[in-house]
Amino acid sequence: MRNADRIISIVLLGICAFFFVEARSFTRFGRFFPLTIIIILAALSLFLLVLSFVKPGLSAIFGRLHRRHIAIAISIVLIGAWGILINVLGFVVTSVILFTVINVLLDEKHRSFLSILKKMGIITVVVGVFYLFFAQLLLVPFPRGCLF
Amino acid sequence: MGTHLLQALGNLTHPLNILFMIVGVGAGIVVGALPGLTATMAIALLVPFTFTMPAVHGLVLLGGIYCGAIYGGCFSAILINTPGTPSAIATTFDGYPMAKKGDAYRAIVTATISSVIGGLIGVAFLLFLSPPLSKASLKFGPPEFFWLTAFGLTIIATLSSKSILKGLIGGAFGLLISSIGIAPIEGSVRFTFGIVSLQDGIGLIPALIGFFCIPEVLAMIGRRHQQYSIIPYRKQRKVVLGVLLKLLKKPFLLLRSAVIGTIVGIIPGAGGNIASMVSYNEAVRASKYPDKYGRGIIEGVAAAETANNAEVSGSLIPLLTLGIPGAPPAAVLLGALLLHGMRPGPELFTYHGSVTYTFIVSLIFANLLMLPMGIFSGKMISKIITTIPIAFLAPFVVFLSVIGSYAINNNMFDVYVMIFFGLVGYIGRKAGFDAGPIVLGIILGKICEQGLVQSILMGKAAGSLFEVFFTRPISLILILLTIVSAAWPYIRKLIAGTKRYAKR
Repeated sequence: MRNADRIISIVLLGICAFFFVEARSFTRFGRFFPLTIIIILAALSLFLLVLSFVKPGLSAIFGRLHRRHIAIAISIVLIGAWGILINVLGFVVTSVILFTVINVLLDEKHRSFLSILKKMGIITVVVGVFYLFFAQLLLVPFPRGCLF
Repeated sequence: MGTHLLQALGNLTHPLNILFMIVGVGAGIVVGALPGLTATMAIALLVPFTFTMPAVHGLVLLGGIYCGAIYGGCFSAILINTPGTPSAIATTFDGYPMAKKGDAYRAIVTATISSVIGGLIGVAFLLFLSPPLSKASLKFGPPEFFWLTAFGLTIIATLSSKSILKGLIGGAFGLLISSIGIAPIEGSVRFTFGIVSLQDGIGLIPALIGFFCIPEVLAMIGRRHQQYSIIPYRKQRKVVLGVLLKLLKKPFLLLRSAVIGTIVGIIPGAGGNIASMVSYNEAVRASKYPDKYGRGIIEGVAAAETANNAEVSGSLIPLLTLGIPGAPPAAVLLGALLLHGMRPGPELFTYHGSVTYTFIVSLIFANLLMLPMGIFSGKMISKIITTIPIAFLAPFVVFLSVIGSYAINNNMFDVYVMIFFGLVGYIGRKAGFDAGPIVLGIILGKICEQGLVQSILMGKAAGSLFEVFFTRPISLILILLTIVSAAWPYIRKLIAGTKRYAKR
């Protein structure tokens, strides 16, 4: 099943079912609006599902697997890791590491040890400037983690 | 109003406000000129930087960015045939052919002058329409607010998405997200799934950053090998004066485009891309020589650029008066207003009058600043378009997204929200769902629910739900508008079909 509309509509129907079950325990006026929206969303999703059979439009979201999809997938993982690692390594260290890793991933021409080191230096300065701006001027206490 | 305007002029002489205005317009032009970076994204990323500033400085900065970014889109539209922001899409139609003919500088000057004129007309509308409209909003009760959001949602669904069905699904999905957290009436804790941080609902700014920035970054990564061939250009003498005189001889073109831009801006959800397309289309229809459009004439560039810059102020009219954003960047500005404790409505023009009028008047100066900045820094901007590598830009935007969503509440949960909605936005975008309807659904959801439930309570107290929902004069107008807007795509098809039949 590679029809994107079909997959999306099934996911949305699943979300509607899940939210519907949850909404039943709310107070009368607490559930009125969400239940109305769930019913509307479910009806629209069902319509999209039917349309995906009757008049199939979008075949697959990503089509054939291409090199750029791999870079996007790795970037998604790295963005997720950014959120997780901040609590472990701290804001500054995580940002410098992941900023550099994504930069190296995307810049295929400059991957020598020296150029990576140079980039890391620039990135450290950029992160440092923003860190000082937020920490010193805006007084935002960023997570420190185990390192810094 | 007079006192507030004088105060506003006084505030704008503050050195920091002048600095923020220059920085905002300059940064906006650069962001707008870079394909892939939009005005919405720039404002969303910079809102967190303004939250410890006094409201007036923050709004002046964001207003400058908004104006600058919408204008900046013309550089890449003219020089590389790629609109820097969606608003500049119609600028490519005549701007790029002009550049190919060796008239790139003339096209840029035309875009700059018409952007300034459009921007100034738009601000005039904002300045004179907003205060009476905000007073009229006092007549809005819960049923009117409910119908207003219903109207906004139908407009969003029909205008801002390629597919009406997907636009409606996006809007409904946004409304569902908005119902997460404590219910406004009776206080039920809804859809928190045991996560305490969700009791406050989904943070607007992290969700906006997620929906508008992460999908752009991932799309940027996808096209990182794309090479732009930029058309080189040289400054020429007497072009500025020549273009200015030529444009001044076309007052109807400029005025019509500015009015279209402002009206489209006022309509919730319809952004600068629609404003510039409608204006360009009308310019072609009204022209004595429509065949010349698309081959590189300054009227085409002027129609598009006047409209998209007038749309900036137009989109702020419903935002400042009713709290309903006219376009996605205005939706982010709503987040900035709320962050500074300023609720849209009449209070903005009375209690917060000094700040609000300073913000509005700053837009006049921001538009005027675009003239020297655009004409003299065009060369530098065209260099920036080709020199900033995506390999640096993409992780930099992610970095700003993380820092921005964390800094709002010093809360890691907001970072997770941003990442989650970023991925949802990216997958949605690949499947044909625009972020616009979802985000506006999130924003309008709370107003819609409060209006609906309070109206039901009013109806119960009055003994007739029908009377409360369907007999109040403003509600009736809004219901009519909602029906027309929902049926508009079908009416348009019907009209087109009848015209075709008549031609045959």
